[in-house]
Amino acid sequence: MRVELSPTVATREALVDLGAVLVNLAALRSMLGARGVIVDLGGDARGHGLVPVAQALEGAPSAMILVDDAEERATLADAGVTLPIAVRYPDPDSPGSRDAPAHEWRAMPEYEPGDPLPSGIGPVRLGAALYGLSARVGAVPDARLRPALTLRAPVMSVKRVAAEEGVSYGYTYRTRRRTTLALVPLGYADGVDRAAGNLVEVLLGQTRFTIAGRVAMDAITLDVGEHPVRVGDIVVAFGDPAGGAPSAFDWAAALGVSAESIAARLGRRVPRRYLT
Amino acid sequence: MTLREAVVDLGAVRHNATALAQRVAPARLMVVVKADAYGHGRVEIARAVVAAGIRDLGALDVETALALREAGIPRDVTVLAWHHGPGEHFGAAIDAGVALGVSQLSELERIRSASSASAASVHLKIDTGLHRNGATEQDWPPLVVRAIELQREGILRIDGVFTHIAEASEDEDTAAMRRFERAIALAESRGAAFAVRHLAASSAGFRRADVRFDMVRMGGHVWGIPSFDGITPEEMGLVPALTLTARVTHLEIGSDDRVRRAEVPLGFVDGVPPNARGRVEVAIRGRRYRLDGAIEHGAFTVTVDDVVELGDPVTLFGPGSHGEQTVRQWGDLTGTLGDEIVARIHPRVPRRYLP
Repeated sequence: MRVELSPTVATREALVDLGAVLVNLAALRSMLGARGVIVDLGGDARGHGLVPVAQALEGAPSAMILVDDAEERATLADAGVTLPIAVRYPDPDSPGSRDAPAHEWRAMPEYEPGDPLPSGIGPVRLGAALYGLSARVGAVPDARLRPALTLRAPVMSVKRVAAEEGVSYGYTYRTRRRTTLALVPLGYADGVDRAAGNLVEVLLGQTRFTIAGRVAMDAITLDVGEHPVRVGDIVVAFGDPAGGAPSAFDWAAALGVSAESIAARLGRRVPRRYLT
Repeated sequence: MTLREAVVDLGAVRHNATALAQRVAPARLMVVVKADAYGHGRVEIARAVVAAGIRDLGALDVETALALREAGIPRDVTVLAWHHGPGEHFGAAIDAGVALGVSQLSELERIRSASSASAASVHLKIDTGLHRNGATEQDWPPLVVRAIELQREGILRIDGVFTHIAEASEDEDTAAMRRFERAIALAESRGAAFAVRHLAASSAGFRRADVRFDMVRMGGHVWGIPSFDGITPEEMGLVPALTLTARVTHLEIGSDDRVRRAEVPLGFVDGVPPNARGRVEVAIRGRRYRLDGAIEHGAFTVTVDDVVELGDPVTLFGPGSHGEQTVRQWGDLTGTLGDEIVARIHPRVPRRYLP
């Protein structure tokens, strides 16, 4: 994905490249031969946006959509999605759910590139790989897939500080020399794990910087040294490494979680913007 | 009940707000409802605490502040926004009577350009060591001087001065407080007057009388999440307000029929920390079970016994009244704050409010 780093980003945003989802679906289909697929869009399409992703998939040959609950199914039906939709976690009180529990989904592992093909002739469930991610801790990215989501925000303020100054709560980071600090409005309420402080890198311009100090609810701070930086410059938290940004896999490796969970746990106050 | 839900006890919120307001008196209590009131619902929480007598709300950003005004939070309740993107132009905020925290000259100039009929209420922010927003010591005098000029022109009214402290240690906080006092003295020497001075948030504001000045800002404590170690909500006189529950959607019965694996439709998308496996416990029918199964995007599994049935409610955390852990305990056990856990509960988990 080529993300134009325009200087007009007013606030934090998640760019979702629906073209990447289609490219990933095609790549996965070619790995699966003649097998049909079930696209698992549960969890708001893992944070990518249930309706836009489903609508993008309408033109592609998919056998069925799987969602998490009846509400997600109703959302897709209201949006006019015509593919058949199955629910993975039906309400225990809904008619028939006790008689016909959704056993088949539990017995259907999620396929990721490199896995042996599931036995049988039935369809194969695709989840995190659709978004260019993996549901597995410790996984490495597959070169045939492209990450669909980029999280970015503009620098909100810039300040010069002296050496030996503490940064953010608890002063867990201290400046080593006179330097410039950039404040970026992405915090743990937006989906940047609090554990990412002093650990995870983000991209400013063409340079990566590790988050300096604790991640707060609403902001992170970067110690950019003498690197030129102005209010409004774009910081990419994670995205497509082809553009120099850290990927969700980089974040996942640093945090000991899956790349899928990095995207899927984005906060709802981060507006999604779609590239087709 | 539904498949999953977060139940928010507004009675507990009102109780906590009242207790905390008494604790910090004669200083005022500002209730901070940023990040959707840490996942509790900003409008419902704002209405509840205003009903309990709170007259100051912290909104973080203009978007939140305007949402509160649109929901009917009256003009005699101060709503403060201080976290401004470079594209924020302030006109709607000033028209709605939103108080603006100002850290940089560029923000003052945008207020000047906002062409609102009314004067903006401004709280000037000084950086006393946290090094997020707030003017540095070098930038403080010109910020103050420009604000005074704009006050004379009728563009704005300087109502407050504030900072935010790092809570790195008592000594560091004291040092930050001294910098705050020096910044106030300097601004007053240039002709500024501040009706409301505020520095402290939940932790220091609860413990230290000397940091309270005219107002203390609190979020987590108001919904019953202690922000410092070694104390329970009960010992602080607070009640955790949010209970996160879901119902067993599937039971896998083992070979001896007594050991079962229950599927619970709350996953990391919903807000269960991905690293919670093996660390926390859930409560079913008043009994605790270690969350020992995989946490997927939309569900986790837990080993239970033959007491548990399909459809049973499972409580992850709450006030403890059904044998469950508190979110503060969940935070401790997963290496974070209860604040992070509740702020990341997904909107697809319906909130239900107890009046």
